[in-house]
Amino acid sequence: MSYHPVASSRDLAGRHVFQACLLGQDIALWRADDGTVNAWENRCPHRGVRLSLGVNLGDRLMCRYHGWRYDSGSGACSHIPAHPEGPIPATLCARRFPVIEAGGLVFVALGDDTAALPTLPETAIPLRALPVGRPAEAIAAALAGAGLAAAGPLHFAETQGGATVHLLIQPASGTTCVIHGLADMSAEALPLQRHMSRLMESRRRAWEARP
Amino acid sequence: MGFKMTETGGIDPDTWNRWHVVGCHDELPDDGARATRLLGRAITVERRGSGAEVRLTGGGALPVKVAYGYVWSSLGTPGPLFELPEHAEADRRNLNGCSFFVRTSPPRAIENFLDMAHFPFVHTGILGEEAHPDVKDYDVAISTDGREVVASNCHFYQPKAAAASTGGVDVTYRYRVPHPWCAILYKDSPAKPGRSDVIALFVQPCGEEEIVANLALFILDDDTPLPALRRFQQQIFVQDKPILENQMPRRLPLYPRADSPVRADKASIAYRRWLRQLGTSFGVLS
Ligand code: FES
Ligand SMILES: [Fe+2]
Repeated sequence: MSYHPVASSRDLAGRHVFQACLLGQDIALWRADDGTVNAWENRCPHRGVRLSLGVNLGDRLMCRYHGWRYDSGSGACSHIPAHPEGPIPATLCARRFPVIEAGGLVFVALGDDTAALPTLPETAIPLRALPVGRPAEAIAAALAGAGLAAAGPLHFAETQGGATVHLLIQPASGTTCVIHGLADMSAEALPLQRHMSRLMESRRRAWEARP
Repeated sequence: MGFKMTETGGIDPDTWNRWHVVGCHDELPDDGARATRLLGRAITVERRGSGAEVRLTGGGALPVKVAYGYVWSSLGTPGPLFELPEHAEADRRNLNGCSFFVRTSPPRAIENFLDMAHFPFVHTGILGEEAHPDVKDYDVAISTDGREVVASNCHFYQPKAAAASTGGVDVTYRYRVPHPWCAILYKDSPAKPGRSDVIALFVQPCGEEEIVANLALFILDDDTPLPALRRFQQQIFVQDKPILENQMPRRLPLYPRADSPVRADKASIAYRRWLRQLGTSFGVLS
C-alpha cells in the first residue's frame, strides 16, 4: 500500500484534530506539541467513538466519550479515568498508520509495506484542496486525457502561470477524491493560487456533470 | 407454527414480535395522522381519544397499545409489555422529557444510557465532573427468567443530579433493561429521601441506524416548572447526541473483541450477552 496525500501540513494546526478519509478508512490526524504527526484509525478502541471529536492535549489525545488518553507516537493508552488505579492492558493502543510530512503535505499509507513517496518540488506552496464527487481513477483518466504529464498513477504535473503545478489525488472513498495541488515556486503565490482555484473549480464542474 | 424470517424481511423474531414505542401520546397532533417509521416500514400514528390507531402506510392496521404515556405498536404478534408500576403512583409527575431523532442504532442508545463512565466527560458539571471520574464496582445480572438485565448498587458523584438539585451528591442508581430498546433508571430523589425518581429511555427503532430517543420522566418533584424539567433533559441529551452519531460502527457489535471493555462496562457487557441470548439481529453486528 503506497502513501497518499490526506491533508496539507497547515491543516494540522497545534492542538487540533483533523479528520481525513483514505480509501474509505476514516483517519484522525493530529500534531503533538513536539511536531510529531499522528495518523490513527478514527475510532477509539474502547467504544468506537471518532477520535477526531477528542481533545489534542499536546502529547496525548483524549477521547471525548470516557476520557481515555492515548500517547503521541506509540498510540498506547496511558489513562483510563474510570479506573485511575489501572491496570491498563499493554495491548490497548490506537491503531496507527504510517505517516510522513513532505512538501507541505501529509501522506498516509494504510499498509505497512510503504512504497517511496512521490518526488515533490523542494520549495512548493500548497494550493487549496479540492474535494470532487468522482472516483480518483476517473479524475486521473480525465487529467491524462487533458494532456497532463503523469508522474505516478495519481500524480500529475502541468505548467500554469509560469510555474510547475503538481496535482496529487487522494482516493477518499470509492466514489470521491480530493485533489491536492503544489505549486513549485517561492514568491508571489497569490495570483497563481487564484488562477488555480478558478481553473480547478471549473474542471470539477465539468467532471461532476459528466458521470 | 414455525417462524419464517422471509415473512419478516429478515427481522429476527424477538424484535418482530415485541411492542415498540412509536410516539408520545400527548404530543400526537389533534387532527390527522403523524407519519413515522417502525423497523424500516413507513407507518402512521393517529390519536383516537385516549387510544390510538397505527397503520402501515397504504396498508393494514397494526396492533396498538397506549402505556406509560406512549403509543406502542408491533409488526408481529406481541405479548405483554414490561411492567413499570411507578407510572401509576399518585404522587409522581409523568411526562415526556424530550424526544430526539438520532442517527444510530437502538442498542447504541441503550448502552449510552447504561453508561456512568461518560458522565464526567460528556455531562461535565451536571452528571459528573473530571475530578471524580472513577466508577466504583456495581452489580449486574440477567434476571433468572431471562426477561431483563438489572444493574444495581451503582454509586456516582454528581454535581447536579436533577433539575431540582441544589448541590453535588453521591447518587445511587439502579437500572432495568426490560426490553432490548427500553431502559429504566431509578435514582435517589432529591425531594423525597428514600424514594427514587424514575427516568426511562424508550427508543423507537425507526430503522437499524435511525431512532427516536424518548426520555420519559416519572418523578417526585412537584415544584420544578415543566419548562425547566424539559430543559434539563434536553441539555443532557444534546450532549449525548453527537457522541452517538460519531460512534462507529453505528450498529452495536456483538462479536468478541469488537472493542475494549473494562470493569466499568459490566452493564454493557451483560446487555450485549442478553441480546445474543434473545437472538436479536436488528441494529447489531453479529
Ligand atoms: S469510547 Fe473513547 S474513551 Fe470510551
Ligand atoms: Fe449521557
